[in-house]
Amino acid sequence: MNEQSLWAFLTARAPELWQKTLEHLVLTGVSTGLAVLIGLPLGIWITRNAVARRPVLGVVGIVQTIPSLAMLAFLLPFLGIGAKPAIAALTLYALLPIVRNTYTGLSEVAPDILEAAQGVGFTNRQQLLMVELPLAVPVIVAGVRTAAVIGVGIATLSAFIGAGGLGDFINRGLALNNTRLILLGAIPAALLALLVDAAIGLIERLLRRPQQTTPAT
Amino acid sequence: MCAGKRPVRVNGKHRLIRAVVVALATACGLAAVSPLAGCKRDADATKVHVRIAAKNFTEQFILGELLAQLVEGKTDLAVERNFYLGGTMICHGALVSGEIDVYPEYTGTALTTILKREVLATPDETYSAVAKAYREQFKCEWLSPLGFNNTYAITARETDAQAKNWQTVSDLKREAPSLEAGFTAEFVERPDGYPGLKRKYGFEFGSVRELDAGLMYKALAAGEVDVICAFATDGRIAAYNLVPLEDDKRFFPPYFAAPVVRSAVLQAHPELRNALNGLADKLDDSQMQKLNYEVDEKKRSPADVAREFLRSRGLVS
Repeated sequence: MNEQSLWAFLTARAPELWQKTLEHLVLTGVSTGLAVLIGLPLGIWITRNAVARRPVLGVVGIVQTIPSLAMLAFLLPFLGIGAKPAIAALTLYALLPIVRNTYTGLSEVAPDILEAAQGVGFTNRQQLLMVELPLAVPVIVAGVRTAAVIGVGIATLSAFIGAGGLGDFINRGLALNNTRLILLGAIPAALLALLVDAAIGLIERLLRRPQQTTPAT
Repeated sequence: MCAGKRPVRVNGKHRLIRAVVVALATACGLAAVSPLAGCKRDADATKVHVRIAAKNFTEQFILGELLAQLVEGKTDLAVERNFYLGGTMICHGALVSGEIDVYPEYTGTALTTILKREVLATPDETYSAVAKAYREQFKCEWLSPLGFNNTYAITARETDAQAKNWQTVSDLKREAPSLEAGFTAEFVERPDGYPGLKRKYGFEFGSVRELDAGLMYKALAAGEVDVICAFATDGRIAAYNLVPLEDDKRFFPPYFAAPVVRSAVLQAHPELRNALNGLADKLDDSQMQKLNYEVDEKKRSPADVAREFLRSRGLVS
């Protein structure tokens, strides 16, 4: 028999759940944002620079294979506890999907379109901003979506190092063998992942619409 | 693709695929019957195993090793170690369901977190109450206490305590809203932890960070948090110049450690009782602190530290 009814449990925990969800969003949001700021330029660079391609993709790939808990533990002596090491780790994990998808999206742009752009007289920068990136948007955004969803999942581990988030509930539930607490963290985290994925998908659709309505010059 | 165009190459590919599949299947088959997977099966055939468990912090590893080595040294029984179980309730659940046989528990923890009862005044009352309840409710027995009281201690840095004249937990009340606490996930939820502390002392800390028990001490020493829920027998309190504040309102129960064993196992192997009681009253607070320090700061293995202690006391040859 449960000492507290499910409804009483949820209403008692609601403010804490809200706060932890916000913390979780901040951790994921900031790290995914940073990963885009770093990963997008990196992806563009390796599209232009064939020599850098293998090393960069190799490094971000290897980072991905490091177990998350080990990565967090590794960053502690440098960044202390709390949000800083958590965001650093999450940013590193978000890099691979973003860098790889940026590179793939850009390199898939048909060569004749690039020729046409140069024929029209675009500079390299104009070509990148007005032709290549807009065409690569679907693939790049897919990478950002993957990164964000991975981020929501890994952020649950930040609970061990004092960064907050929904992982706190999971951690507490594990320690006390309390399934309700575990689910209080796990289910919102899963829903958050779905929500984040859908939200980014919506942004992508909004980014694409101007392209379809603008007539070709 | 014309079917008969290159018959030799197609057959070669099929043969290669078949060979790989057979090799993989054989490997899996071997692994399944190998000692790796079936270790428990053939081990049981030759020797009876006592399964000793421990929670997920240093002191528990040391206690687990002490108990395990005593059993190995003084009886014919073999020991299976299940250390780093994720917390009090996981160990307790495993004990009650029969998945483990012994683990070291603290009387206060059993009383408030497992039995969910009110705090009792004295260590003896606490011990009797849990011993009785465990025998009746869980068919488990509490053996003799080891001698130390590993209570929770709200702890701060020495520099802070001296500058702000903090000697008791009540002294924190004035500044509490501006203080950041670093607590374990268990402490934040347990009735003998933060929820009860808040009520008894009538204040809350400005913010609470949930940390792994092993990270708390360093985090406090490094200034990342202002107070922690230290374990009184941790060697790092002295080593990092930390000061445990007096529990002036007597909120925390006594936490005397003792081995808890399933009654069925004791009945089947009476020699186990003597072996496990070999540690009774042998460890006081400062001795336990020293052992913890050896593992936490000097980075020695719990097994080595335990063996050294048992030999020095003549408990094991």
